[in-house]
Amino acid sequence: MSHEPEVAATVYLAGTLEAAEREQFEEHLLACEECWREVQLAHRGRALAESLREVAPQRLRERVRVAVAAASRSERRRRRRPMVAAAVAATVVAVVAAAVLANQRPTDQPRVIEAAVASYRAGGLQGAPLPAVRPPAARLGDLHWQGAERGRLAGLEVVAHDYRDSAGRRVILLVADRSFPEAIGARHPAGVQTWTAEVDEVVLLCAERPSPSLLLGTDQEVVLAAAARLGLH
Amino acid sequence: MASDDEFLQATLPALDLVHNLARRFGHERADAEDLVQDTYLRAWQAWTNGNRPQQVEAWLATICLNLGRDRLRRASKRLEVVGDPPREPAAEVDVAAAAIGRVERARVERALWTLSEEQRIAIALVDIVGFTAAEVATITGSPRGTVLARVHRGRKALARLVGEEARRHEP
Repeated sequence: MSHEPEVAATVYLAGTLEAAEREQFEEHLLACEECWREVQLAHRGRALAESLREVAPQRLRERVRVAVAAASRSERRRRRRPMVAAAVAATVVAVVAAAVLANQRPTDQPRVIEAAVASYRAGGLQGAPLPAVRPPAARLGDLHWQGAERGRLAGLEVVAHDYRDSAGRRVILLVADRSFPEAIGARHPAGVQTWTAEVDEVVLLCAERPSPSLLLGTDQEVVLAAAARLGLH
Repeated sequence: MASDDEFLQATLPALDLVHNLARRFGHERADAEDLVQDTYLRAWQAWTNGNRPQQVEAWLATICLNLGRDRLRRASKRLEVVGDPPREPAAEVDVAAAAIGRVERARVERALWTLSEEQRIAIALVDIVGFTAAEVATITGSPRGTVLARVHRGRKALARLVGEEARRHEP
């Protein structure tokens, strides 16, 4: 036998020697200090390494389960994303369609606003005339005060002042004890206290002072001029 | 999801194996546990792509080995700047048998860390995890003879180092 203790011991410990070769090496071990030491050290080293084996803690098992479940959920979301995108696109189309419809029919507006617009288009509140009431202004430019009436708009008590000019243009001023609800799609050109909107081809201007007021007309410039003359803000 | 269960059923029995291997890539237990989780997540990724390994244990060991080696490389770059690696705190000497076990274990752990990376991994795969030299040859891509030599030299070094340290601490 060639005497390379490290190689000989490695081959012997690998357990792949034929029976006869193994017996021959074991005989040699008894006589060779170097080879004996090689094998002894390797046995000892192996036992030490094996002593490091440990069981994984239970919390690690749980952690792996949770991590895989989370990865699985995010994978499912990723695969669903094209469908979600399609759903979002469909929703956007629906919202745009609804907005277009809303411009034609003020069905989404607060009921008070809807009622105010309807009464403007009907030519009045169909309420009780108030012959003794003083007008906030006798004239608004070319528009002359025609009279006032008291009525209710979807539960909100209001006084309506009717202004018209010789051409038949008309502005209605609604005054209430409490604020009017804001119309959907309202803009705030002069701060949060006032807003303007166009609902069903009627121009609305709302202000809080001197008292909660809503002006309605068909011509924006006429409505804005009337608001200025009334000092609404 | 059924696929999660199928994956965990196939791979969780190898958790001890992956854990024991991952422990050889970091001094801190928390680092090892991070490596175990990353190994499973990487395996899960492959599994969702249709990978169904014949040898689940060898497959997980290979993934863990690759991730672990990456970490060692990154850590060694950091250590060039920072300094020495953190050592496990020396356990206090106690008369209780359990404490003696801990001291011995910490001693073996420290000795294992002084081996070369290749020897340490070979020892981990053969002696701690229990793969055959032929399996380790496949996992590491090294010839079987090389694996055997690394294991043998690693074992001897371990025995010598632990023996020397024990003698130094003898009263």
